[in-house]
Amino acid sequence: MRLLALAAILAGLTLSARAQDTHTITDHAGFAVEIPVEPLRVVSLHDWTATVMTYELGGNLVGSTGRLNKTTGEYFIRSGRELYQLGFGHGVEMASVHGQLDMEMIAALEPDLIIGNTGDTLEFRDQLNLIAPTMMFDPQNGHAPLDNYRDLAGWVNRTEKFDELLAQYEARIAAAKPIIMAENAAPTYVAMTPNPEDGDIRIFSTYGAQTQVLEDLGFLHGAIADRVPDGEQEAYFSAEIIGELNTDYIFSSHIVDDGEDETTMLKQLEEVAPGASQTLPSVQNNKFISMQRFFVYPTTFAAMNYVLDELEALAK
Amino acid sequence: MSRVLILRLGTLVSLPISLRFLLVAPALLIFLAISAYAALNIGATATSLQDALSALFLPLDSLERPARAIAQFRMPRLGVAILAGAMMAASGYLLQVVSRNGLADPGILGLSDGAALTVMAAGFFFGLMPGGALSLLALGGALLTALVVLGLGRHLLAGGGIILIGLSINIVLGSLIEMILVSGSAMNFAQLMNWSRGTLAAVDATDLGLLGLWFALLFPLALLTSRLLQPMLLGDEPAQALGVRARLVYVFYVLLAAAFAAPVVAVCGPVAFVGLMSCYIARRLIGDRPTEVLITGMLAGGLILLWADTIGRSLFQPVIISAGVMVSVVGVLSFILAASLGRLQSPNWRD
Repeated sequence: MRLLALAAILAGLTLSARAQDTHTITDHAGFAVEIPVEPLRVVSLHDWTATVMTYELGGNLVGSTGRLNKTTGEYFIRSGRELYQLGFGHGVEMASVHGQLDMEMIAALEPDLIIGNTGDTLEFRDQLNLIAPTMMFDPQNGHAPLDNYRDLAGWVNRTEKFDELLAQYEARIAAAKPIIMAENAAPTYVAMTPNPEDGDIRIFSTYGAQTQVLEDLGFLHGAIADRVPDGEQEAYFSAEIIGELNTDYIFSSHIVDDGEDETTMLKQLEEVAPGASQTLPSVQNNKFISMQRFFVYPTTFAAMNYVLDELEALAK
Repeated sequence: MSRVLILRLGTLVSLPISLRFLLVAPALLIFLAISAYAALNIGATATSLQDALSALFLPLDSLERPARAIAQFRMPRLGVAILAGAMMAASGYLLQVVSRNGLADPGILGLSDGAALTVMAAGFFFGLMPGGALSLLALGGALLTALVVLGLGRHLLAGGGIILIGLSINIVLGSLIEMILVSGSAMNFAQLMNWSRGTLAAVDATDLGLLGLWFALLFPLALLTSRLLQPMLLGDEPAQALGVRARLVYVFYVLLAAAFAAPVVAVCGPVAFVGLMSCYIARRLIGDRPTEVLITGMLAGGLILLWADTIGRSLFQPVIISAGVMVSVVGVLSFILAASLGRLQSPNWRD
């Protein structure tokens, strides 16, 4: 009996020692960072990228930044709430309000790995490194979104899970292609949102899961998307380019929390470019499609499956 | 006029000090010390007196989490707030004296926009950069802008003409910033937008060291040359009649003001309003003796920024309100308080 107990203790010690093993990885901001091989307490500082990705892969996520729902006064995890019903409590605590990092709140979660976002947490890197090794994730570094996701999977030691989900996704794409592309083997599309505040149109070269799925299915993006500068995800164009949106499909997105739906987006487009509804072939053919923004913004497998669900429903 | 005491050291030193200053300055210093201690104990982590003392006197490695939070995050922030507030106040006061305009502040030299433009242009052409590089770039941009304003306004030094040049440069820089902003995605500039609101959220011990170094260099210089402030307050011709080379002194003080403000803008973003408010408060409290106003204004500036940051990071937790926004609130409240305690100001000021 004593021997068994001793063996159990030794096994535990071995496991613990392994948990402390580290390796050095270069993050998306170019920093070589020594991080645990198996991070046990991951804090993500960007909800719709690192948080949902780590959660989807089953990483040891203990904290995330959150946003205030002005209606309910509660904090939520953007895209985590929509795609995974992920909220605060039950093991994932709020690390800070999005864009307003509080080092003490982050330190209180005792992370062994912090994942920041190059765009809005790079300036805090020195402070964050005082708490735990910090990796910077950059979803807009010009690399393929799924390559970036795979990088993150490696950081949280979930590459196998990523590859498994990727294989399932690729199988689903293969199965969905004949259904979605039955009418047209290579339809053209533009991903955009109207911007009535400034009277212009936001064109996306990539837009998370939405464009990832479209490209994987074999949709061809319209020429206007090539005018988005290299390395950028989007660009603003004046309404004069409305004629270039003459693709088979136009894909947009809306925010349900703000009371928006597909009709709202069409109205906004009409506001920016009066008469667009009468001239654009996609609108005429009921192929102006708007999806819920926070379902399609992250490039996670749940988001891509949502886009596939939507497209399959349309095809049927 | 307030009563003046003469401090004499032998036959060489005769230093007049107003009784009002002798009362107000120590009172502000004590209030600053109390405020600093309070700020050390306010934050997301619950801390005790013991934690604060441990953070102050024990090595970092030996500290428990609450004391470590104080040492790593609150102490640098507190130090930066006090130094930055004091330096902005010094900058604002020097500019108010040379322009003889109580509405002048470091913002008129285009320091904030100059720093912002440099950072954004670098980000636009070379991509995002870590915080340390951002500070250095901002510092260079702020100083360069001050030199440009001074260079363009060298023939308009008298009569506050340089303020017009500064405002014009501000407008041009603001337009250039807008042009860069509309050319990039929101995420690319999220880092800068945070800084551009004026914040102490990202400061660390390195920033404190940077400000400390500049303060240690500039404050003695300001004190040693402060006897020139009184003649400058009278205007160019009276100053020259008193033997002061007004033009040279003007340039010197503008550069000194820029040097005080540039590192602050680099570390905290634009918090120029401190420079305006604290000098008002100082003049309300103690009158118009320049050296005394300079010191009192610096104490007031340190207090304003310290409380602005402390309230901003704690009042609506977990939401943090940037110090740049809170400075307006705390500054105005302090001004009202000082105005009710103080007295009428001298007619020398055009404000």
